[in-house]
Amino acid sequence: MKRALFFLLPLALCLAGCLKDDLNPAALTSNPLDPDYDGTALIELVSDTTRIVYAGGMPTDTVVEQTVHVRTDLLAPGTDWKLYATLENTGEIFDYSSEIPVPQERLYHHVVMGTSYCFHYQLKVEFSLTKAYRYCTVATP
Amino acid sequence: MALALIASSGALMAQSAGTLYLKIDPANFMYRLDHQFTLQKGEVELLEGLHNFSFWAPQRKVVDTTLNVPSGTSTFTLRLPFSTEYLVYQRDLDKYRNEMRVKRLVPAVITGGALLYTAFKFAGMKKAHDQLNDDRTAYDAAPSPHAITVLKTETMPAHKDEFDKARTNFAVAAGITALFAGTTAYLYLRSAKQPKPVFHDAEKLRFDGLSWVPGPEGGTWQGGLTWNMAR
Repeated sequence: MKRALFFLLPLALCLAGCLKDDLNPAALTSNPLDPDYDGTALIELVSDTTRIVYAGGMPTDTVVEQTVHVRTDLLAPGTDWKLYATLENTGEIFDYSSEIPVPQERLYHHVVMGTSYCFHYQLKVEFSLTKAYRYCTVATP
Repeated sequence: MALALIASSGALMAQSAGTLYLKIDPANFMYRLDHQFTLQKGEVELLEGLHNFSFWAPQRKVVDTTLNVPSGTSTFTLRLPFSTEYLVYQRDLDKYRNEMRVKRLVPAVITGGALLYTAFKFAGMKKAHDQLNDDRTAYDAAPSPHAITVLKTETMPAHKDEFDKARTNFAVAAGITALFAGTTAYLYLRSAKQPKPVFHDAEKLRFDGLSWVPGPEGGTWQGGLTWNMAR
C-alpha cells in the first residue's frame, strides 16, 4: 500500500505537470492573416516614384506612384484576397476589392511637391482586413 | 476392537452381543467408550447392556451419555452442539473481520473510488488540453483575419478557462485521493498489529483426558489437562 502511495503521488504530479497551459493567444503572430502578424511582410513596396502625367504633350498632373508586391506564397493555397489601401491623414480609401480584374497594385494621387504621402496597405480576406503595411513616398520633382 | 472388548469381558460371556450404528453430526466425531477406549468408528459391536459414551468432534461440546445396547443391531443419532469456546471464537472472529473490513476494505474502496474520480478528472483535463492544441492548429489554418480575431479573443480564452478549471478539479481530486490513500495506508498498518482471534479447543482437552487410543501397533495413552484461566 505504501509503495502504491509513493508511486501514485509522483504520477499525479507528473500528469498535472505534463499538461500545462502553454497557449498564449498574444504570442500567436505567425499567421500572415493575423492582424498581429509579425513575420515577413505580406505586402512589400517594390518601387515608388513621382511621375508627371502628360496630355497632348503638355504636363497636366503630378502623381505619386507606388508599386507593391503581395507575397501570395505566404498565404494558404486558394486564399481569395483583395487589396485595400488607405491614405494616411485624409483617410481616403482605395479599395480595389470590388474591381475586377484587380489593377496592378498601383496607386495614383495628385500631389504637392515636397509633401510625404503615406499609404496603409492591407488585404481584405473574407470581408476582414489583415495587418496594415505603411509605405511613404515624398513627392519630388 | 469389538473382538478385544468381548475377549476382555470373559465374565460376561453369557451375554449376547449387539451392533450399534452411530450417526453423529459432524462426521469427524470421536468418542470414548466406557471411559477407556477412544474410537472413531461409526459402527461398534458391544455386549448388550449399558455402556458409557463420550462423544466429541472438533469445535463441538463433549456429550456424555449412557446407551443401552440391545442384542442385534441398533442406531444412535446425535448432533453435537458447538462448544461455548467455539461460539465465542466465532463471535470474536466475526468482530475481527468486521473491523478489518472497516479499517481496510472500506478505505480501500473509497480510495479506489477517489482514484477513479481522479482519472475521470484527468481525462477532462486532457480533453481541455487537447482542445488548446486544436485551437493552436486552428490558428495556423485560420482562413481569415476575422476568424483569427475571434479565435484569439473569444475561443482561446474560453478554452483556457475551461482548462484551468479542469486542472483545478484534477488537483483537488488528486489531493483528496492522496489523502484517502494515506489514511488507507495508516489504517492498514495499524490494523496489521491487531491480533487475529485464535481458537483453542478446550473441549478437546477435556475429551482427551487420559485414555487409551488403540492403534495398529498396540495404541498409545493420551492425556490432556484443562485449566480455565477465567476462574
